Amino acid sequence: MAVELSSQLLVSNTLSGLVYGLMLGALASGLTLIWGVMKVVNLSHGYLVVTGMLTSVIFYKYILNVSPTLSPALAFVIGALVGIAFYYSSLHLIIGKAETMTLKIEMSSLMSTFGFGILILGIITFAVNRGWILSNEGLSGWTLSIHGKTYLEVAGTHLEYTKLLGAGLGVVLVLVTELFLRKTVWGLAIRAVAEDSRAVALTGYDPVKVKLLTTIISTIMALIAGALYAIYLSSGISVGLESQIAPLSFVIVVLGGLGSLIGTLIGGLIIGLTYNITLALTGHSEISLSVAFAILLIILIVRPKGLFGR
Amino acid sequence: MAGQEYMLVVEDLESGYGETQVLFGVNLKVRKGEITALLGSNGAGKSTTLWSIMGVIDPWKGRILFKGEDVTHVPPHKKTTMGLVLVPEGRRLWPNLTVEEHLTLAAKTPRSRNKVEELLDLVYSLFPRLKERRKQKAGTLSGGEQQMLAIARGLMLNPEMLMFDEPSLGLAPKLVQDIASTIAKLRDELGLTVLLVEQNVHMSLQIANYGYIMENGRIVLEGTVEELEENPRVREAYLGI
Repeated sequence: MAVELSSQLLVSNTLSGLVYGLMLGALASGLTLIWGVMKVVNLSHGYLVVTGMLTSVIFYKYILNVSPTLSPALAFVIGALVGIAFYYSSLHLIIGKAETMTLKIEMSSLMSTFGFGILILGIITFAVNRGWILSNEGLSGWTLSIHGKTYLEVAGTHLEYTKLLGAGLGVVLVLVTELFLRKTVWGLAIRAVAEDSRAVALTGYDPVKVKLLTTIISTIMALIAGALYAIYLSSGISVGLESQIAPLSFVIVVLGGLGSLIGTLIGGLIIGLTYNITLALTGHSEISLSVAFAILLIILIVRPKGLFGR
Repeated sequence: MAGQEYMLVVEDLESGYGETQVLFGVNLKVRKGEITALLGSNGAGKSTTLWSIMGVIDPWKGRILFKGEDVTHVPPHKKTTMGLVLVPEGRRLWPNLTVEEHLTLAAKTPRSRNKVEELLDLVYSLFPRLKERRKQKAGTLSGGEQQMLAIARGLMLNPEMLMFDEPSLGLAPKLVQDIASTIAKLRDELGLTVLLVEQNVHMSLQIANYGYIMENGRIVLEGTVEELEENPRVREAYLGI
């Protein structure tokens, strides 16, 4: 009986771990673009994701009462604006004229993006202190139900529709961006600009425009993933989540291979599964996190480029 | 009218890096449909001249006229889309992009967009090797193939004038001959105007119509290829005769 119970627990944690993992992959994908492709170590990534989460909350609860299912569209628009501000405030002076992204530039970008993260944190804290939003927000009163049910039952496991929607659209987000990078000329320019931006200029494209575009797309991805994560979580949305999202994103990006969007999804799956299964076996989330980092260490020793790294 | 005869005119060009002046009033003209060679030893300022013409380095003084239009301070990506294309020294390819991706990026610019098929046919007929390797990453190509790709990328931009910076550098003698005859072909069969920067004076004088000799950031000698070949100073210093 005990064995049956634990196997049921294993099945349910595997299923929910898969969904969680895909969500994590989507959350990390914006980072793999700006860091892996353009060599900007974006320490504000976690805060950008939180901005996306709050976009979903604010437009649902405080302005216009927009359904969270439409929040990715809002996150797209706001992400574009934040991306432009991000590029010109924190990146342009460092990378605008750079021909190739050297380690020195990578390290400078680390400092300036850290600063931009602090700025977002300051704005959110200010809004909380003024009582404009709560310190612990949620999409209260909103849920997804089909035929009166809020979950899908698979092998005796309840998978909530909100989680399936958040993770599912997250996968769509990653795949669409991958197609954009592979199939459009701007995708090619983005991949070329990090390797030699002077050659991009000699091929007829303004390198500054390409770098700005990369920053905007990465920011949009972070905000959309954030809006989807708000749908996924429904409650407990706070700026404090940054301290989970950022380190997990860095782990997943390195695990999947810098610059590989598909790698990010696979990396997310591995971390999500390990996290949930370890949690089911031990009951301690601290241990789960340690195991996730242990996997990262092993990958770094066995295959330093990451699973799909070039 | 002079603007009709010359594709590119450089007047009193002064330029350099930071505080260091490299060019001290360079004057040169490139006649339409000809190969003009800019020759000189290492450090004479040839590459700086090209980067300044292209706008990668903003000229300090002087004027640059392309097709009679003042383009002195036009940024490089705009000059490229006007039909002035530089094939830079050291190829400057993107190692992780495939051959095809290099050509596609160039082909999607406004000048080339409507002639992609035509340009691709041209490039693949000039360099059949690139067609075989079109799915291969540029970083995995040999030195000769990389130079072919750099030229092919330039041609995909549908240029009116091509500038080559040391295309023979680091190539085996057989390949140097191939590159030289390709450049001559571009003039003879496509009517392209070429400014060829080289240390390899011998190879350059084989294919060029007119030449300039540069020393210490100044033009010290100019003339038709025949005149240069007769000049005792050129014979001694550059041809080793």
